[in-house]
Amino acid sequence: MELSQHVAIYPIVTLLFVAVLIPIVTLRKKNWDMPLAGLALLLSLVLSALLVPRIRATGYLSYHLGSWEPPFGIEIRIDFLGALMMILISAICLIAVVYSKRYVAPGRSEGDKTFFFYAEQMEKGKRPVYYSLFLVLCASMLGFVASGDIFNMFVFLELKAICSYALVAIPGTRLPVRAAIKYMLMSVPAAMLVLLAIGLLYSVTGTLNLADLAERTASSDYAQVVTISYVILIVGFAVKAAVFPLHIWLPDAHSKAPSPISALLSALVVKMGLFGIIRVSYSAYGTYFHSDANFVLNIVMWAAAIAIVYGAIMAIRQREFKLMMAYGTVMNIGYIVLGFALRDQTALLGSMYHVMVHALAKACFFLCAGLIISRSGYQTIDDLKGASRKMPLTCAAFALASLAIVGIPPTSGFISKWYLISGCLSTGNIFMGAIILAGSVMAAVYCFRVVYYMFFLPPSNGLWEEVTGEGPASMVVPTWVLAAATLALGFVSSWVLPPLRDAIASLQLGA
Amino acid sequence: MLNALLDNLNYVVAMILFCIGFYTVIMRSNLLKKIIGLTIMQVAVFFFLVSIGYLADGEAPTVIPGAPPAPMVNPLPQAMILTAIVISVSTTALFLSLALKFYEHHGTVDLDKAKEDRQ
Repeated sequence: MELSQHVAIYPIVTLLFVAVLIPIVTLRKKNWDMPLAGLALLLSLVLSALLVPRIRATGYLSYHLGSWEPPFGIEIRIDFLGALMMILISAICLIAVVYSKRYVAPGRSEGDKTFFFYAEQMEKGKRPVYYSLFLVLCASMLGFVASGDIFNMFVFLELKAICSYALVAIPGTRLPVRAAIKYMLMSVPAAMLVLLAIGLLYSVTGTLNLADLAERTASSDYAQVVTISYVILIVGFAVKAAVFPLHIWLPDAHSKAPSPISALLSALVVKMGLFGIIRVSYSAYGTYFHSDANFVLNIVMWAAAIAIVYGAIMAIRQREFKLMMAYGTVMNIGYIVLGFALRDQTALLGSMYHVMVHALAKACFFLCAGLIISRSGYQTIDDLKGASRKMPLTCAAFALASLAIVGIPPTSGFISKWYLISGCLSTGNIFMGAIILAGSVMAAVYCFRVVYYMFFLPPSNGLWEEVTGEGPASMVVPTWVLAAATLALGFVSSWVLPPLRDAIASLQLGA
Repeated sequence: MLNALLDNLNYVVAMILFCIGFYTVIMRSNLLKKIIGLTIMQVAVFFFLVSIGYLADGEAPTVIPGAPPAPMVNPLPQAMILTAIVISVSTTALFLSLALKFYEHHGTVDLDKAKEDRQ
């Protein structure tokens, strides 16, 4: 059958096609932008999910773009880990796009205080662009995780980066523009480092295909060049992933963007840098990574440990709640990188599971923040005192997600930290295990302080009086879907973990 | 030593260009100069990649039926750089439009001056 041959690229192509369609259609039908975007994302979610049974049967799905055989042509190679990431990406994008419908739309009437925050900033002409960029961002992330070619990874990484700069700055006001400029000033040189590393690697191996690179770096005569390119590549990806000393763009960009975009940036976009690090380490540099990379990995491990402590301390010190959440992301990136740098299968399982936990929970955090900001305009943590009296559903969703971020036992966050800590112990890094535990305690301080303010303190001097109640269903329901998914991930872990373990084992083999 | 440098002149030039660009990005507070620095960095990397595929006296990589195969220039780095140039152009365009927005808000494209204004 002709059509089923191309099944691997359908999720990506659908999104790119609709992204081009939206600005054209909205010339005539003004309000079709969000339904079209939602439909495309739903379709790509279903198509990504349909890949899973095929991948479970064969181990991976390989597709040759333009029918050029690898290693000469570009290969799309989706393994189970990639498929899982694709489902996660399209699901969270779908939720965020539904949420965006009212977030970026102007209020219904003049006196309606609702949504004043973005109503003036998002002029009507920007909405189709917003949804278009949104879809391209999602498509580029799907392409990045599905790619089996290192240069193709670079292209999708840059496409993703350009969309996220534009989406951070889309309100066009002072602070988002400044944040986007700061983001670009760090991220563009990082992209050039990635390209430089690809060039160095190509000059000694003569190939760009990841599987082919794995064989050729193992037998390369130029071990020094391989080492240097690995270091450059890790630094480049680490900026994209906001690993500790290179994170300074993240808090501004993530807190000043519109909330659905903050959710995407924190939940998915920084994870792409991490996924890139893990992908190239286990495939392109497989042999080097397993035998010689000790020095590099030690540095990465310590950077991750500092990221956990530093991120937590900065999160506790913040007064704005979106900034607090952004520093929380710096901290959780530390967890994920730590699990990778231990070079242990259990720890990597923990960090991949934490990618999913953090994606769901942090997206939920930012959507809650968006609800509160768009209903009340309040931005500081002190303003949240007594918020549950007017917005009980939002506050409850926030509390559920913070349980997972902290890692209270039955929730999903506990499981990922459990595997991380047992990975630390089995490799003899007891100190790193202690840092993970200490990080959890500090996460409890910054999360539960907000929960305490919301539920147990009275509002201070007349705040919350003008707020009429919960936001519209199209914003509350997506937030609750994420909160419920965060909770459910803890209970279905017995279904998710075994295939994830297999996927990581096959990464280990360099497949 | 000098011979080693001359043999690898393309690497040396690319690295020097890259450092000039990086210096400009870090040390200049003018946003437009930073953008120029970024472009220099990008060009340095492109130059490096194209020079990898260069072969002295190499032919264009086309196969002519009947003619004996001549030594060819590697076309793959050139194809890669074409893609990378497209990315670089769109990044620069976006950055320039952000700089314009920055100018609208602050009346200057100098980051230090904009900071002084706020205080």
